[in-house]
Amino acid sequence: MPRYAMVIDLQRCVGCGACSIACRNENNVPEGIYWSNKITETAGKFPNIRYHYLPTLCNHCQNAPCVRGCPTRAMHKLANGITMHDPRKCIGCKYCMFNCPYGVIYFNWENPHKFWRDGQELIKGCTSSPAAEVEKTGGQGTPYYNPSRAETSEGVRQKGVVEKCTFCDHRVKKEELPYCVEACPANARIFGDISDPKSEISKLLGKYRPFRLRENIGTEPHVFYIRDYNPAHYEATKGEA
Amino acid sequence: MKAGYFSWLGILCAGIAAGLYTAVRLFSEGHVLFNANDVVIWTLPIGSYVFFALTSSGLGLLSALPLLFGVEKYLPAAKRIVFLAIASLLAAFISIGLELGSLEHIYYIFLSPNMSSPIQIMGLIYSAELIFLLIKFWRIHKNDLRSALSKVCGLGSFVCALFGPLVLGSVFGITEARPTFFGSFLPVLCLLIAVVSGLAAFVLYNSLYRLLAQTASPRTEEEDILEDASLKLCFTLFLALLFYALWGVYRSATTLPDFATELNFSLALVLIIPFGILISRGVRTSGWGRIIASVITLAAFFGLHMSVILAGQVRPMGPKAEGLPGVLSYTPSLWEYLVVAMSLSVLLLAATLAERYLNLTPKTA
Repeated sequence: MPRYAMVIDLQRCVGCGACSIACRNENNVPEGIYWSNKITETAGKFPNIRYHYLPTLCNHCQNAPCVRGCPTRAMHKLANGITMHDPRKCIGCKYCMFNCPYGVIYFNWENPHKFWRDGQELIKGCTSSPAAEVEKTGGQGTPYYNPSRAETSEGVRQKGVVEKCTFCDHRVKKEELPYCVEACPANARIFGDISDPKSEISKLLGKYRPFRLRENIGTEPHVFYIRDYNPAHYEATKGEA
Repeated sequence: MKAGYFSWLGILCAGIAAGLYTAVRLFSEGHVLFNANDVVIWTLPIGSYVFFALTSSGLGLLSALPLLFGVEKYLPAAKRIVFLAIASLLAAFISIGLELGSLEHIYYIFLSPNMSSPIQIMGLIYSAELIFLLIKFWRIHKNDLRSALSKVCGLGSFVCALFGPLVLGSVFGITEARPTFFGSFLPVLCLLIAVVSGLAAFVLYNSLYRLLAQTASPRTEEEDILEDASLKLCFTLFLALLFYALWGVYRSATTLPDFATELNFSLALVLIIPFGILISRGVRTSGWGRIIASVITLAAFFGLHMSVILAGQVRPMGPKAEGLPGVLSYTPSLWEYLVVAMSLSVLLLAATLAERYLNLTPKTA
């Protein structure tokens, strides 16, 4: 059985956000919820400033605190290492969000895709309303509804349950790559079986010194970051006393 | 008197009706009605749950004095203590029930249990405690304190009341992601707070009852029990103050920001007031002295629960910190207050009706 993991090459990542948009489309992610997200930081003082961009998603931890804490096993591990969530078992206690050290689990505070339920036309007699658009396309909740998401879990999650990245388990099952990996124009995301020493990600992890988020708390995240992009340079100096 | 009684019932029914309306709105619109968000996840209803659950455990532990450990002095009050424990637990269940996003899936707690989850264990313990307490109350009502069933339920409810607060504290205490909570302090603190809250609830309820029923006779068995309970409350308040001071000193020695700050230890200083009131024998033996001391104790603990619950959540983590200040603030919404109002109303309505129809008045068994 493979053990799936992801490497994010920060030297290749251009911060375009295509991963997040692809994820939203593939997984019918509603407004206010981010399965694929980022941490940005602007450090320093002009003109010596630097902008950091770190793409984030569920880390599919080996020792996942969200799985340990879930009272109904709604949050569970698959044999291939993917941390999966079953909305039908979720009681909405939000303990997984409370336990997750990475801030990547979100709660449906209200019925999803609320803007698409609006029956008001934007320009009367000219445009259709969002609700009419959904009806026209035959989507569920959104006109961009992807029915293949429903092959392994709920296509659209209802209010009162949590949701998060599943490494596109429905695609992986069909030997396809997660859609964020597929959509990345810079090939900054590399997905594969970490238990196979010949896999691309095993080679990269051997070649570069990776880091993971909050490694000190022992969750064993399976999203690894390698390299960094930095175009800056400075003249050699020894500083001053 | 009759008009006052029915007005009181009317107020409590209004509280429950408002809570039921809140429940309907929550089920139809979702928890967007609460002032919670993806950072501050657990809010006032959780504080209310912790408060009522710990109070119920404290009352459960207090009821073990006469029913398990043979402290005869408390025997006449045992029935009322057990009933108050049941009513408090019902209030706790209402608060947590309306906090859950998908209450309709709750049966998976039993169908798909995860025994490594403290929430699962806590749910099982408090469910078992409710069953033990109900059977125990029924046996006391039938004047049966000696049968095997009565003793088993006495022991069962004691074990649940002991471990309930410890596991409730562990729900927070094993969260490595949040340094504010992580560690063994919270489970121990929860057990201590349960004991103090249970005593305070008992002293408050009995003092109020005596005041309203105008049965303040100079020396009665009931008065002896109240004086003893007030003294125990005073001592446990001292322990709570000591514990908070120790926790504060421990935290002041660290440099980790979310571990060292956020917790409002100054709120714990409010506990000095009831301690000061109860340490003086003259005030301790007065009805109003006890009422004021126990009200301040319970209110301070409610505030402390909220302070602790929020302290570990106000700093956004990871990508959720994007575009947000370093520390968030929180004010409950009207709907959250109505959840608390419903919980309290159910507790008080149950107690009011039980006083009338189930004869809870202390008497020699």
